[in-house]
Amino acid sequence: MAEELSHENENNESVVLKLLSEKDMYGYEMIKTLRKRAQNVFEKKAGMLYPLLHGLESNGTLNSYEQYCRGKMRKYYSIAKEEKQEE
Amino acid sequence: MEEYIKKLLEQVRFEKAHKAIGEEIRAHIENQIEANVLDGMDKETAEKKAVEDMGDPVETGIALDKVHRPQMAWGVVIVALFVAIVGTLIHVLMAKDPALEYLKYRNDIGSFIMFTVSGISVMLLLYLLDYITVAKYSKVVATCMIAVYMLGIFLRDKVYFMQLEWLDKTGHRTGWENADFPLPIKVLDLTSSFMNPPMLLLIPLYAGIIYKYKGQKYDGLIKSVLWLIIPSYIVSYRHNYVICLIFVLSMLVQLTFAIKKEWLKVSKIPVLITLWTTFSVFLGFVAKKEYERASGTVLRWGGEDGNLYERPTINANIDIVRAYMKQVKLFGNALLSSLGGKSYSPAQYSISDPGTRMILTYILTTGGLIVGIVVIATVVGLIVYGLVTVLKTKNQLGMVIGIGCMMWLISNTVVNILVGTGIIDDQGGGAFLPFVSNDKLVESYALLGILLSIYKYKNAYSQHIDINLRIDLKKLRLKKLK
Repeated sequence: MAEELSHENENNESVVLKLLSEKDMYGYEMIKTLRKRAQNVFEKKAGMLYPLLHGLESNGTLNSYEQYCRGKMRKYYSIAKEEKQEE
Repeated sequence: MEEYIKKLLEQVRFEKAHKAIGEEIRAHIENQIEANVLDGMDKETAEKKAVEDMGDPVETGIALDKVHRPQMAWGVVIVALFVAIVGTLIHVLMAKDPALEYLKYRNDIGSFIMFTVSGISVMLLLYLLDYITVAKYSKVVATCMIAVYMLGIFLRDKVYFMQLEWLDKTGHRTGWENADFPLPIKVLDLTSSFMNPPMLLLIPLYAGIIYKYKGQKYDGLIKSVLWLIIPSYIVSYRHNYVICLIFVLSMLVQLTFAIKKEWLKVSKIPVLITLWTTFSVFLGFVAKKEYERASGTVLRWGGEDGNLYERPTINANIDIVRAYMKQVKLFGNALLSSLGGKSYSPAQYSISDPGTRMILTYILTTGGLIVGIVVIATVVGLIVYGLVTVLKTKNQLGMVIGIGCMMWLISNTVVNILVGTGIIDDQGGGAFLPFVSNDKLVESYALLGILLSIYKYKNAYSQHIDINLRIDLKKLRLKKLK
């Protein structure tokens, strides 16, 4: 069971990193894009995207910045430079 | 939606992180609601469906709780303890140095250890501090500090004249040191000695002050510059110009970052060029003035041949240090030739302030070049590590506070290295080697403590945070009304 969970986490992580390697995105934008591509690994559990993003940010894999868009603050995520170089 | 967010946040124990998490989740659900409405759902169904899509709030909350915990910059603490041990070792060796017997240096080792231990305690205590709360009151705290400081200066002068007057009346029978002044003078003297707040704290407060002007244009810039100039001018009343310049430089670097991060809506490049050119001109002007003043002061001494010798003091100190530097070995004690090379004595015999201002000269001449480089590298390593640590924080205010604190330590280190190696003469300025000189130890560790506090909240606070007191008051009023 634990192994399955960790495998799932790794899979979700690689999906998110692949997505962010294309361009910087905010949480909802990621879910929307995954849905369009029919690979929404967060179906019916979109909230679980955030612990994953925050964890990747905390360990330095991702960076984040905020930007106002139509009067609302959006938190964008991007891949940290070192990670990009490794790819 | 609110019920979902509430349930989710109940699982996250670190309350400081609630605001940022709540806002991000709320924005997501609102976006989903908008999309659902566009798909033809009514608002109620759209919200219900958007919340369902988010999944279990408890599961998500527990997962977020694992990520959001107060962070401790253990690396900085460990390196700081290592530097404290290095500093103590140097001072223990100095206490054993027979060449420093004439300075009764042994008396100072106790104070070094006491201040280092107090400094580390203050550093760990400051970890508990929430820098955002302090930043909210930055203007109030800074104004009170400046007022107390000015009152202290006024009282100090007043007491001095009262003491002089009393000594005149009593005919200077006892002399200053043994004088038994009347009780009111004693009380005033004691009061004024307590009215010397650590003005260095104006540096972290300054970041909070500029942040309060966030979003303003040139009016915000003018106010920020005034908050830089006025306190620096007041500080210059009691301190040497080098201390004052380091103070201005640390705040100017903070202002530069604030402008770079667009806190103030001004044309970045012209403003930064103007600010730094003005600072450079001011630096040149002060240096020239101080050089002329120092050159005008002449040191006189009687030679063994009975003649009177003299030379400007500015050259006296720097010449001696440069002479030491020529004798520095890779390892071991440098001997300084005197009496035309007929006799040699350890250089440290003639170093003034070996435990504080000239500690690097002492280390280089007694331990050698390699030991000196290792000590410098240790101190610089800690400061750079601290700077790198603070740059990891998302919150811009925290980052600028940390940059100001580290800038103060870096500037003191650079000036101290230049003075200690005889490259410049600061005329007894008082720049010190942080954590190694027996000077400003508690203050230096306190700044590291502020850094720990910033790192603690590195994931909790978002990039920008409102520190406007009026918003807090509004919330308080709303709570009362409810």
